[in-house]
Amino acid sequence: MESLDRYLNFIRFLLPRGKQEDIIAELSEDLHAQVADREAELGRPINEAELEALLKRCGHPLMVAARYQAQQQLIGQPFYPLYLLALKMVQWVLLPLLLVIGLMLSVFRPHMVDAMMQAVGNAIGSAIFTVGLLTVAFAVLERLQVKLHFLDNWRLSDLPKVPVIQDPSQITRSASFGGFAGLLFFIVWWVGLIRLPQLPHVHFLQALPEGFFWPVLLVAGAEMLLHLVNLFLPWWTRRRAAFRLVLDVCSLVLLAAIATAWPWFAIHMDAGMTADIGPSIRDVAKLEQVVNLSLLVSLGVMALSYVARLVQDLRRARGLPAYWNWLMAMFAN
Amino acid sequence: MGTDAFENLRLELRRGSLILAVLAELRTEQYGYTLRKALSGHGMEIDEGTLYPLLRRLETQGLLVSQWREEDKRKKRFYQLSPEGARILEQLSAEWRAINGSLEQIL
Repeated sequence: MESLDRYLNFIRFLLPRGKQEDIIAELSEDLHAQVADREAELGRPINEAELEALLKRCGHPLMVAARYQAQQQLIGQPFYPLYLLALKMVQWVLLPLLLVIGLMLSVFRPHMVDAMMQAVGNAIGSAIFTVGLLTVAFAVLERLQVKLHFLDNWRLSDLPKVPVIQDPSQITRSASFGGFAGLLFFIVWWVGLIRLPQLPHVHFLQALPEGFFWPVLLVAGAEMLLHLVNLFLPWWTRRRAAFRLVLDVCSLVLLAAIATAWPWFAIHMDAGMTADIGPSIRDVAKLEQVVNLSLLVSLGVMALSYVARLVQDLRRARGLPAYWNWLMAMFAN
Repeated sequence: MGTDAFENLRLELRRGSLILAVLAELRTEQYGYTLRKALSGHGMEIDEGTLYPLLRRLETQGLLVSQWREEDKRKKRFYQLSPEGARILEQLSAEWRAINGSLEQIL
């Protein structure tokens, strides 16, 4: 019965102190009785394999000992829903906030790429640390069995007003119309049918290679067409979501290509503009830097919104709702 | 998937009934192993890993009383329903019959 003792000793090791002997004595009695019954049935002593089968049926020592623990879960009711809510706030509010702030601040650092990577690492590290703190805090609440009075005494008027989740397959006509009108204006400007007032000495997007003209026009035209269709058929279909998914990818590729041509904004000073009557070379360089960095941040935000859209379109194209909770619904388009 | 779902729901359905069955069986004094065999004989299989923690919980709640005694040259822990346990069993039995009656109508 060496195997049986080994099994029981391991369970004893895992049990709460003070209860070990009592529990093991009872369990041992049951297992010995089972062995005796089995031996009577077989008419001979049981062998090692048969004993092992019997103990395996009884369960792994970890599982057997766990059932005797007073606390069966780290965070249970009523704390678990609150814990989940707190985790969602970390995921959807704290982490994005830390990322945006960190990335924006890193733009103004001397080694921008290194600073950005550090900002992302810091944001993720802070979020993980917060999750750890929340877990410990809720585990303590569970351990102390703190009474949450607000769950018993609540009024309808106390409930927060969260945004109403509309049907995820619906497309608002205002969004379609706005998208269509905006892109129409962009295309008219892009092909040169209208000219925006030009500032003297200012050069914008002139570093973009010639090859950009047609890809940008095609992507913008295709998206404008999609907005037009959505205006008359205002609900998402898997086919239209897949079409926009392709446009999302093309747009991201174009944005990445445009980013390689950074900086996009430059002020060329004429020989006539002297330091006496115009801005100094240093001021101009500073202005160029601020405008270019602002444009770069805008491009980053735009890229992020395309990524969010891409995730939604991927879900729609697979026949799933574009979002799975009210926080995601706020960013749906 | 379907089998897993059925198994989980079956276990959930049995979990509450097991407490009632254990309390009812312990109207007469028994030790763990004979209790398991008695329940099994009535078609209510329960493994040792579930039964003993349950017995401890019911004892902590004051529904059972227990004592260690020697029988057949071996020390065994005998359990029996306490007066409080008998009162609760009566209430739970009435509840069970009401639920059963309702379900019979629904099903």
